[in-house]
Amino acid sequence: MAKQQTSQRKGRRKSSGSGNARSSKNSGGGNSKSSEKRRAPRKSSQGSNGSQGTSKSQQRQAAKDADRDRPGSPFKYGTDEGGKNQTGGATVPEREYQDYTMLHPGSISDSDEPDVLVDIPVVEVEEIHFELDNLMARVSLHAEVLDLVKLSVGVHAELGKVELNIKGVEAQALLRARLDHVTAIVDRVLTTLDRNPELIQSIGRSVEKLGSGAGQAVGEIGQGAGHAVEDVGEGAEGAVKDVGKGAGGAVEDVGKGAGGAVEDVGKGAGGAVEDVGKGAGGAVEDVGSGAGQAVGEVGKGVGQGAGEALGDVGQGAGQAVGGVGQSLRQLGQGAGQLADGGGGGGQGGNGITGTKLAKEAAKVIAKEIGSAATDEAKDLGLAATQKAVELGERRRQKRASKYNATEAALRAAEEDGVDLDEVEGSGAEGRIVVRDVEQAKQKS
Amino acid sequence: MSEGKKSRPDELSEEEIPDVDAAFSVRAKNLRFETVPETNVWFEGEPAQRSRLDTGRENLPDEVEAGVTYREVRVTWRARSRIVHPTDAEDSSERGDSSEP
Repeated sequence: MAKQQTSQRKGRRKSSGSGNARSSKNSGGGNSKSSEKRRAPRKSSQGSNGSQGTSKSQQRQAAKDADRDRPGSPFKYGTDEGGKNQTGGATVPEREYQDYTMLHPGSISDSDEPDVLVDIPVVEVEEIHFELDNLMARVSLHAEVLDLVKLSVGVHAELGKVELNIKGVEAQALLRARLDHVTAIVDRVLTTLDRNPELIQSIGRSVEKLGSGAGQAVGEIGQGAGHAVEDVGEGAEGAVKDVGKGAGGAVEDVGKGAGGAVEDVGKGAGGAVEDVGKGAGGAVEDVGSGAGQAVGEVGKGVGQGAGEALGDVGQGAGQAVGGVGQSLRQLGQGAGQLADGGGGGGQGGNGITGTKLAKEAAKVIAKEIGSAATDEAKDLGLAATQKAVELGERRRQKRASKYNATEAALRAAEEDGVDLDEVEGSGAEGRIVVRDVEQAKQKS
Repeated sequence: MSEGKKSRPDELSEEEIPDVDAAFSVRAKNLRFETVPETNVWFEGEPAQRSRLDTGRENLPDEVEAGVTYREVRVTWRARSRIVHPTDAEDSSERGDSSEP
């Protein structure tokens, strides 16, 4: 059992703040068993409020003076050095347990006096056995003035599971809280506000401006995002146009390099792709596909006119332009994504990105077309040559059969300009041979 | 008495007056732990705080052992803490207090 003495010093100061001090509390499930024997108070009925009359007060004062005057005594109860009792004299615990007190308020304070004092002078217990789980002790001071000042300070002590036996225990506790410092802080803040009332007004205006500015900023951000998207859209459109032009030129050049028929195809494809470039987004996709088909048809037409080889070329060109359509389709998708995701970017940044994208796309398209046209031109040359050889051979075979001449005689007649109708064959079964052609030339 | 003290960079000096001060002292003829507890002490403060913790032991090691009886034991424990506020500097200059930061 603890004897507790609380001394609240009378108002030496006026506090504009609010303070409270809390002594230890057990937040865990503590279980304490104790068998204690306290030293019985010598005068258990004696109060501390002076109700026992003048003689009692005189006795207390005499006891206090005797205690204070005792040689070597650290105790100075009832003086300015410690917690001053409201009655001005020593309390019962102070007198009864002074022999057991190990700490005195005066011994741990200088000249300052606490605003809140919880003094447990001594607890004497013969034997204690206790078990505790999670003992939490907290001593704190908290002061708050509206939302302007919030002050707190405290110490926390945590004790985990403990089980112990103590014999011959003497314990003491002393808790003190001072409000001087807290009061001074609050006083300074309030004094500052009192002397500078515009601070509160400026705080209000700042909050107001903050709200208004935030709204305006959001609005501007929205507008800026809108402009950015618009500009990106325009940039993408221009980029697609540029790509269309570049792709058209590329196809045109490839067409020129691939020969007359292919040149026409290239021009057609170029024009188609140019038209494609003027459109944007899905239009590019459709036109790109249409351009491929159109060029394919052109190629087919040319192929019918020029033979199977040119037909192959036309198909190749159609495939190449189809690739352009596909690339433009990808470009259109990229431009669309750019326009969709361009809200956070600046105008110039997205414009540059669109141009770069257009250039890259044009390069890719030109490469594809060039590669396809080169392959087709090679195939065209080879095919034309082969076809020419085949045609010559067929024609010679026909003439050889018609004129009953050997192939060598036919080649010699073509080279020397000899009409085989005027030549009589001297070979087997009247077949015209090279010698006959040479003689006919000599005669003519 | 063996004195132990935790020192921290923001430790309260002996000269500074704490806003909160808690002191405990226990003296026992026999002390025996059946279960040794884990202890933890910390300080809190707003807007900030400076604190110090002082402990003293007699006939008790820093790390006690379960099942061992310690005799004529004495333990003192004192924790002090003070609010640190920006206006403290102003207050110190007004008072000419050199102990204030």
